[in-house]
Amino acid sequence: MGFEVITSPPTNQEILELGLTACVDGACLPLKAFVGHVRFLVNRGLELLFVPQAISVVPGEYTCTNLLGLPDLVQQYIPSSVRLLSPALDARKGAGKISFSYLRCGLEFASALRVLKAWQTAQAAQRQVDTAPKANGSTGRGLNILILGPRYLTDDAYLNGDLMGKLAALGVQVTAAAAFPDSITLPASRSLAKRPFWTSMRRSLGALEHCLHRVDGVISLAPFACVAEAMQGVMVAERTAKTECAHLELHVDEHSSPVGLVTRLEAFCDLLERKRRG
Amino acid sequence: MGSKSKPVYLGVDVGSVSTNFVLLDAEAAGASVVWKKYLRTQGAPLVALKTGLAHMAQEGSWRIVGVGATGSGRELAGVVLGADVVKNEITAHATAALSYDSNVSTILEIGGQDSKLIILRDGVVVDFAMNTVCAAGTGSFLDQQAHRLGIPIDEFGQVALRSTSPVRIAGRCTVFAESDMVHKQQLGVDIADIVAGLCQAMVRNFLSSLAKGKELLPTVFFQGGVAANAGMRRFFEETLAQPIYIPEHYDVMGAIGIALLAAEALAEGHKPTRFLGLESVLRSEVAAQVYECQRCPNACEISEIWRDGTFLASWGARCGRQGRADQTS
Amino acid sequence: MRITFPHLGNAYIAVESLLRGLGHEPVTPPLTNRQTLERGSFHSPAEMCLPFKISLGNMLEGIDLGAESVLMIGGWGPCRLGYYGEIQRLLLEALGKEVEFITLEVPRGNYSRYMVHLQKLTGSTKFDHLRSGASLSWAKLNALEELEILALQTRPREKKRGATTGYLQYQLEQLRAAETVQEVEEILSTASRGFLRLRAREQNRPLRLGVVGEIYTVMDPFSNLRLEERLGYLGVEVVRTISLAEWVKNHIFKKALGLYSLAPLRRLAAGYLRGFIGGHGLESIARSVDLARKNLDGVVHVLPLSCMPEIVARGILPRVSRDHGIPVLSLMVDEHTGEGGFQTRLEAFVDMVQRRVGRLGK
Repeated sequence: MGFEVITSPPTNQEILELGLTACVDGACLPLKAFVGHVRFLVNRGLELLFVPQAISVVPGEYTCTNLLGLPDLVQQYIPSSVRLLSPALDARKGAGKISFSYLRCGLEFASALRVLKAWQTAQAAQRQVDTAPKANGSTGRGLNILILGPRYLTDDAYLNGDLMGKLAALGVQVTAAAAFPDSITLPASRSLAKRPFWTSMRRSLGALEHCLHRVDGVISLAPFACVAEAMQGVMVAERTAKTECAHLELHVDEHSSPVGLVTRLEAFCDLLERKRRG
Repeated sequence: MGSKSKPVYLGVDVGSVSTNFVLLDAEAAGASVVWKKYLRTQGAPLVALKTGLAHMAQEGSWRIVGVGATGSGRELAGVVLGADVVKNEITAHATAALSYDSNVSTILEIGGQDSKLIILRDGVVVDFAMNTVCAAGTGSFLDQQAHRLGIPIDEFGQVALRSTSPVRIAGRCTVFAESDMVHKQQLGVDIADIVAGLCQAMVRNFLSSLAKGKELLPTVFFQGGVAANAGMRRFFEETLAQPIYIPEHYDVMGAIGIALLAAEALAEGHKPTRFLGLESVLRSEVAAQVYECQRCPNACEISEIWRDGTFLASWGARCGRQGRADQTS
Repeated sequence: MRITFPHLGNAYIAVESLLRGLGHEPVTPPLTNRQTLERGSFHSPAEMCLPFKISLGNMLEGIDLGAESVLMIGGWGPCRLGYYGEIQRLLLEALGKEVEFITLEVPRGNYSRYMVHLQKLTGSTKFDHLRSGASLSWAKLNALEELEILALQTRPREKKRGATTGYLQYQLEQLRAAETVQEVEEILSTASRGFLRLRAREQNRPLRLGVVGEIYTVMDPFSNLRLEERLGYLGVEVVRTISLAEWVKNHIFKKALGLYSLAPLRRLAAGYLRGFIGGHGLESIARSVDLARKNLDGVVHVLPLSCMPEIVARGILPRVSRDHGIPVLSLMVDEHTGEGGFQTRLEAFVDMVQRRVGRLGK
């Protein structure tokens, strides 16, 4: 599109601090971190800030309720010199609406042809990320663990206390729920009495159904005091208890201590190993 | 009391941690403190009230022409004393600060049990925030930590000032702050740096939990028991980049404010005080009873006050009934 | 069938009639009290919000009274409330409670499940019986809100403290016992005269504060620590912006017919919110602007801890307050909210508004 793009680095202490000191009380950790990224970028000097309002990315479903109000929340932390660019992404009436929304948003800055080209390039790049190798970690101990949780936590090594890295160091193979495409998680979630209407929760529970008998254990990663995740926790606990699959719940907030995390992960892996040996 | 006694207004601030008393000269303009007392409530507000009044009677000869009660125990104090005005501590603190300086725009108040931020414009409260949930923002927490570190609380602030590089202490919750502190201590960090770090964490907590999105304009007042801590003052000044004023009677501002409000109300209404009299308060046997009402599933916790076997007042009933007084009538 | 259901303020009076009209026996749980919350909290994950815990407690207490079924409302997002029923069903199941869980929602996906639910609810009821039950229930819902509003107007002006609350309670009991729409109308006309008699001769115009926020915590006196009553005793006339009858009209009837539109709310909130953000967030902003335009003296905003749409609204309200010159107090409630601090905040806010009004010479 011809813009000079400024991105913030992965979350770090400085960024989180920027978020913690400004973000409204009652928001969850990922949201505070997001506000931190916004403030970091604003300090770098920019004219346009891209924060889409993701209402729905899969027909018939919603994203996390926090994302609905994201642009309006962010608006409070940017000076009037910065313009907020936030197309509404609403797939409730069909996935095609999302492309349309992006295209319409871009038309203000470039010709239709150019916007279309940019959109295709962006999609291809995203696809490349999404289809990157699914599992990571090492197979040293022969343990397989499924990580459930929203992508903004499983993919953010700073916020989750480098969960993936720590598990890899323990010799465990890790797969995140987000790595499973909807073509797997959607049918898998149909066996639930009531299909969750949040995409992240449906993906997590779908991945769980798909993997229940293929992994040694499940770790749920959730922001502290998140209601949606607490509900997911009830369902995961019910499913894992019925199938005797080991389950560990981890809540993260700004007070989480890395020391406690290692202890719990080690104990959990020991438990899995003992279980496997019978 | 003889006619030579000085006419004064009495202000009482009953908090869960401390109970403060103040006498203001009724003949002087503004807040002229002639006597003050700071007592620990220790969970027994009635005892603290009587003890304070006994001290007062001993230490001078006064003619009380008006009484105000504030603090979390204001209802109780109001009934027991026969107060002319019973009001919340936010209004009281603002009133007291305004009597010192009519230009005050920001009040930072940290007491034993809670912390408050009050925003004023042109002498009127326009916004406020109050933190009662988190103990890490209160004086009691500092007391505890001082005790743990073996430093008298009066010297805590001075110790903090000695620090050249305060350590960073994480968290807003007492538990987190404490565990982080223990950790830093074990690392062998200088005690002054820990104390300073603690003060800094408190300032940070105060501002992030109460001041978000609020404009803290000069003049800024810092009051409440914690204002005695020079370290806290320094970090507030550094963070806000402006001078912080600590009024002379910073520790009893709530009581001063409520005494002023009592004076104002009595002057407006041209009424005599409803104060029951020192001797009668000291002589009478006042008892508080707390019980769970069984009349409906709400199971409200009712507090009743009895004086010499007579029912005085009750509160806590959600249905608006007056406790057992209603049942007997 | 003996059916229980969670409480929402005094709505049980209308729900009872509706269930009777459907040929069922309503099992109304005791009015929400501390035990309800304690039980609900004990069996809920700690992170769940207050409405979830209270309604679970209500269900458990209803089951104790012999209910065979539980009725709960559902939904398809984005509000979390839509999924509460499903989680509560699982929790009750895990507790070994053998009850039928009926969720009222627009069917989606598994249609047969909904047909079964619907059949269980309507059963073999004759259409005439059903219609009269529904109209009685609707009349009661409107009447109980009218009674509550009369009480809000009377309380700050009452001669004897507490008289209004007592009288309201009495009239609500009458309403609960009413069997025909005509009786309901009679109660209303008696009550409107009765409330007038409780008033003292007017001295000053009481302050008028509007209440906005998340619907459950606004409507449920237990979870908002009896906010409306407290304000009334402080001499404030509370102006409601949320009505359950209105909500039912908008979200059930109008939405089903595709007539419900957010456009008026969007217009009011223009410049603050781009539109729907889930829950009542848009309403809270729009109504606050509306209250300011109607010259009210202040706004009280109530929200449960961790309710995102309202948290966004809370962040924006200070701007509404500045732009429109109307004081706003946001109150976040959860089961740990202390009565002392809550009351102090309210009193200080009322003092602040009072002084402001005095200075403006309104």
